[in-house]
Amino acid sequence: MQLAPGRPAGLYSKISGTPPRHPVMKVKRNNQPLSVSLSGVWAGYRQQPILKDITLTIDPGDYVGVIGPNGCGKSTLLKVILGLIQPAKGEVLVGSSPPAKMRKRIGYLPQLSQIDFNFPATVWDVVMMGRYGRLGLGRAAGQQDKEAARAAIEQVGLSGQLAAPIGQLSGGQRQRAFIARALAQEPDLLVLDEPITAVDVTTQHALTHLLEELSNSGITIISSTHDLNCVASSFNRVVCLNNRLVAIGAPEEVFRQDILNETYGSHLLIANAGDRPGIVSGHGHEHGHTHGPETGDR
Amino acid sequence: MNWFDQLAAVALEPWQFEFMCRGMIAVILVALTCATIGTHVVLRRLSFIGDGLAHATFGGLAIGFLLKLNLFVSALVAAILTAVGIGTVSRKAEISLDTSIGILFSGAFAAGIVVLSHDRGYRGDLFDLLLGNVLTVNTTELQLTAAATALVIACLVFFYKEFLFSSFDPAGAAAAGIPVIWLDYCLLSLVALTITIALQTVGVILVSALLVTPAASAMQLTNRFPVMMVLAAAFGIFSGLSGIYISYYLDVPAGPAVVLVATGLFFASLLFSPKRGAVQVPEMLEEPPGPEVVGHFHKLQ
Repeated sequence: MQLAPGRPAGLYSKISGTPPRHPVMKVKRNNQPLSVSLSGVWAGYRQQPILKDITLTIDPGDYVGVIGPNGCGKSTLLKVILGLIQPAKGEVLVGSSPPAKMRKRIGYLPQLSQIDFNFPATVWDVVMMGRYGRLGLGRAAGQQDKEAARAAIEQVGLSGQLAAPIGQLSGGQRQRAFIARALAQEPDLLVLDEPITAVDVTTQHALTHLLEELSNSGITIISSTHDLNCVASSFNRVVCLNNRLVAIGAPEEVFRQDILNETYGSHLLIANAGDRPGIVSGHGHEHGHTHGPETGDR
Repeated sequence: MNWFDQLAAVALEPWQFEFMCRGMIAVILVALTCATIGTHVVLRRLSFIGDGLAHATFGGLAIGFLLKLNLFVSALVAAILTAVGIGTVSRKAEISLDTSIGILFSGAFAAGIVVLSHDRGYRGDLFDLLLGNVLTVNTTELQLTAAATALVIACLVFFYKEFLFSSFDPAGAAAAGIPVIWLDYCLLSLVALTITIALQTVGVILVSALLVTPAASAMQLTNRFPVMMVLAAAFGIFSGLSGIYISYYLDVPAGPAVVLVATGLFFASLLFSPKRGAVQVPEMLEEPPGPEVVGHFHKLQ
């Protein structure tokens, strides 16, 4: 799979014009994007494995969407890649090392439903946390860390919001702040758990655009999502997960009726808009829903 | 005598007694330590753990008393064992944290009551342990309290950013390579130590109030973590100091007096909270305000 050089404009721009753009700085990057490979990975609880025998490879620079119903193991897959969950069986490699050794090079956006937004912290405080892992125990942040944090905040377009308490941010601004935190780490792999969720359509566009720009700047990105249209319009690779790996490939390859049925166990309609497929409706799915925010996913 | 001299006389009178001096310093140190570490306890929603550990120390005291061990050490060991036990049980057994705390602390507390009530000579001290008695603090205990205060605050300062990150977002912190599990145990052990030194002054029943209330008050007034910690410490010291004066002049136990002042401060901070208070004080918001905050100002004018 190659990185598409000029990404097709996508569904949204065809439907509603160009999405709102934020200035994206060119970040000087010394390192190479990271690859990820899983071979025969099982993970979860003993009686009830959440990931069953997953084998897949993600190439450096890929922009990967992970889709599947609630409880299909999207978050678990991401946590296995981050080294937060040890697989019961199988091997995970980030670059050529186990994930635990690559933590400084992996940025992570957790599901924001798990964050307490009453916590007394400003945008600046949250983004600075992105530097903490690199610093080592007991070391205070220096000038370089502050510059990295400032650059990351500028990159996501929150410079005017530095001192705003996180509790007063809108949904999209919260996502941006946490993406900035991951960027402050200067990562070569970004792992995003539902980056585009619980936000309005305009914000979705803006976030999608931001992530595309980040992908173009040469970071491997793996992102779980329940928004299938976003998958269709921007990712260059899609992982269909339903505890097992149903399919992996370009959106055009995996957006087939049979693959979606096997992933979601329900009937989703595919419509083609130009050269890209899109999902126009999802009915009667017993396992979850494709619209609206997902909560409590594993 | 003018009003200033009168005030000075009132303020200085308790200090002429050596036991009052020891008691006052102990209360201030304990309140300071509780309030500082209490910020993490509140933000991690561990208030119930504070209560649980306090009751567990009571079991430790009983066993120490029975086996004629050093009471401070046996209480501390019981608290740390319970802290580690609570963490491990909830991690491994997949039962919820509050359930595992509920099981462990009621068991330890019941054991303590059974053992101590069996010994008739200990009844009076039992009451002291439950409600604390600052007047019986001796020099060794005061030194221990000071050492514990220094240790707890040193750890909180040295691992400031690690504790902050893992209190805010444990998964994110772990992903960034912060040793979250190790820090959890470290924090629980520090809470255990804090509670042990607080037993003498405020007692088993009220210690969790001292952990939680000043931090919760501070949280009403700020959106910055470091400010919250300093405010909580200030509230803790103020509660400790004024509580002991109330105790001296009104002849009530010091522990409950301290906790009552802290509770009063909490309601006052609710009232003056820029976030949700009835009386708005715009200066207390952090500057420079974002657009939402500016909107907030407009509403006030």
